[in-house]
Amino acid sequence: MNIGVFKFTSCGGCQYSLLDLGESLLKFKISYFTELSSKNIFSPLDLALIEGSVTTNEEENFLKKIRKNARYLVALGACAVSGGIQAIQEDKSSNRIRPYSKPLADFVPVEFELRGCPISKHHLLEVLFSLSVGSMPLLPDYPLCLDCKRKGNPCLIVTKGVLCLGVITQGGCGAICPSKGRGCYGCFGPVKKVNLKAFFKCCLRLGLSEEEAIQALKNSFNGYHPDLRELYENIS
Amino acid sequence: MKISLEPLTRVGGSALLEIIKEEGSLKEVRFAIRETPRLMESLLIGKSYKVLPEITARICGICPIAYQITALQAVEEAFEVKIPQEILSLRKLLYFAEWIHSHTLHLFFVHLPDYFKLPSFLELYHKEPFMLEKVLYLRDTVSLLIETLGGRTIHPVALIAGGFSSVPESLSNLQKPLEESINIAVELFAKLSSLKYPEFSFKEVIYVSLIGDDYPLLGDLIFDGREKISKRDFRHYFKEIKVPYATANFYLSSEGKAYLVGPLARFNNAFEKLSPIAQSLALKYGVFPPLNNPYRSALIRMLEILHSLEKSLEIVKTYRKPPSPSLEVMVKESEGFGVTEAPRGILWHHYKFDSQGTITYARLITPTAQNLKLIELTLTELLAKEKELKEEELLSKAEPMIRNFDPCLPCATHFLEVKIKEN
Ligand code: SF4
Ligand code: SF4
Repeated sequence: MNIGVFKFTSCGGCQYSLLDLGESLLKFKISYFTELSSKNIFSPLDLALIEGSVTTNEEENFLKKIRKNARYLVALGACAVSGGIQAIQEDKSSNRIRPYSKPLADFVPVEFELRGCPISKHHLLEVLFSLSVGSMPLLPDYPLCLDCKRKGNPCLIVTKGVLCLGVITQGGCGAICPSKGRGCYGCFGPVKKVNLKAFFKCCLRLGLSEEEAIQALKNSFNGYHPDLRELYENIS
Repeated sequence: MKISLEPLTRVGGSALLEIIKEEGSLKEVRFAIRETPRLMESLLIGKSYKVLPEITARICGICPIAYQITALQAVEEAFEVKIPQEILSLRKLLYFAEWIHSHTLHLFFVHLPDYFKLPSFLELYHKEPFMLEKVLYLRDTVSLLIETLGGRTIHPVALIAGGFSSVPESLSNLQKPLEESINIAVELFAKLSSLKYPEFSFKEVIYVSLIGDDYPLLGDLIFDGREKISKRDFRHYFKEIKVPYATANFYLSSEGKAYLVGPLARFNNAFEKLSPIAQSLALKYGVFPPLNNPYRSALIRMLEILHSLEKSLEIVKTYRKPPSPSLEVMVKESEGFGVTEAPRGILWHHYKFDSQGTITYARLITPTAQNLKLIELTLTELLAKEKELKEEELLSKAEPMIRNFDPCLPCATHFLEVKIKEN
């Protein structure tokens, strides 16, 4: 399997997760990875792994070129999936957000999304190994609360009355934050069919206004996810 | 005449080199950084102090802990929270782990292939699988350490204003791997010492690092070889310069000179404070200050890895779970400064808060940005000598020199605004 790794606007954290795969990494053929190799061949790829969001016309054009050249395109992490934290530049005067950066899927079709800021190496391995044997990767699509239950964590909302975005966040990280005694801040982005109405109600019960709840979503590193962005576009 | 050399590879972030020639001879090399800034400072304005460790971490996926701890230092100064020793030790432990994580990444996955004349670590480790095994052992050890304290290796989650959101019951599971890692680091240092390093010496350089009782890490005094500067006054030490060809600002000392931060600066300013094994090993192999050859920075990174391992082991051995993971934070209208030694050198933060703890001002100066000017001057000197080299060859001469400095471009460009996509 011929792999290319690309970086757009981002912190670098997701692509370096590849190094956490250890020796398994040497099993794959990586033919393009400018951050870690001086020999880069832009030949047809089976898999393009892309970190980062799109912020300039050059990035947009390059993304389209990669798309044409790759069988599968994988968005790595919150920047590539949602535009990242840098997408939420607030215009203080109008209370609107100015999308400074955008997710890959705003420009090209994306086959697989690895959530998280940063991604989980287990999900990366799942994609790499499944595709290399010709089967479809299975990625989580349940809410984070399930991870917490599996770990036996007491619910922070119920027992401590603190805000935890786990109720609307896609699971798969293993409930890292609640296991460390703090609320999830949403870095895996909104879960499928996210129920924001219920979320706002939950916040209200915790004594948080809708505005504060929206602020938490903006700070989630996934604030500009397609399922969340209407929230601010409707607010004047 | 201007020639562009691109793409620059094995450099964290996107950049190219511009070579300016006059009457056939090389006059200037420009480090034209293309990475899009992510406007992190303006993003913070209007948000609560509580988001600082999360958001500033995302400036850099290689040294997030440096950002978290520096920001918290500023917050805790502003709100007068006095962090107890035992919590401070745990923060140091996390920080040492990050030095190791970052230095091993640069040294063994980015830089080392140069010394073997190979294009990447993939070729290197197909040839030297034994070395890979050792390097991975080091990385697994520190990943375990960071996960134990912070929840995950990149962008850990447990650092909060006032302390930690929770602290581990015990760290005894780390003792063995750390001891084994120290042995491995000694072996790797010997291996690195046997490599051939090209000759080169900075013509003129100022080494700037923190100074105190220990080898530089946390602290509040900065030293430039002559005087000590407080973290508050450091903002008058440097001059910010805008360059039209880069998406990052450059920095000079107030006297207009290029200066260097990072491993070489720390080593030259504080060699005698290195941990015992690191220091005796350095002396045995003849590595001591003044060390002005950037190619040998690889050896200094390895010594700092060893130093961090020894210091970590000390903390792990004496760990007892503190009675409380964090102190309460009472906000007030105030300002605070933070300064620490990130893996790449001095990282400096300055914030102002209103009476609700909302951020009203944020300014961050990163290590790489401070080194950019010296990188350019060094490249100019290096390439000016190579009159007979063709253009393609210039790039392969320049790249290893750039890697000596371990620049991180997402850090350097975290705030300037460039022309953005319109639609
Ligand atoms: S998703 Fe998070 S970790 Fe990944 S590149 Fe973006 S900011 Fe970095
Ligand atoms: S608990 Fe939430 S914020 Fe924390 S790592 Fe998991 S998804 Fe990210």
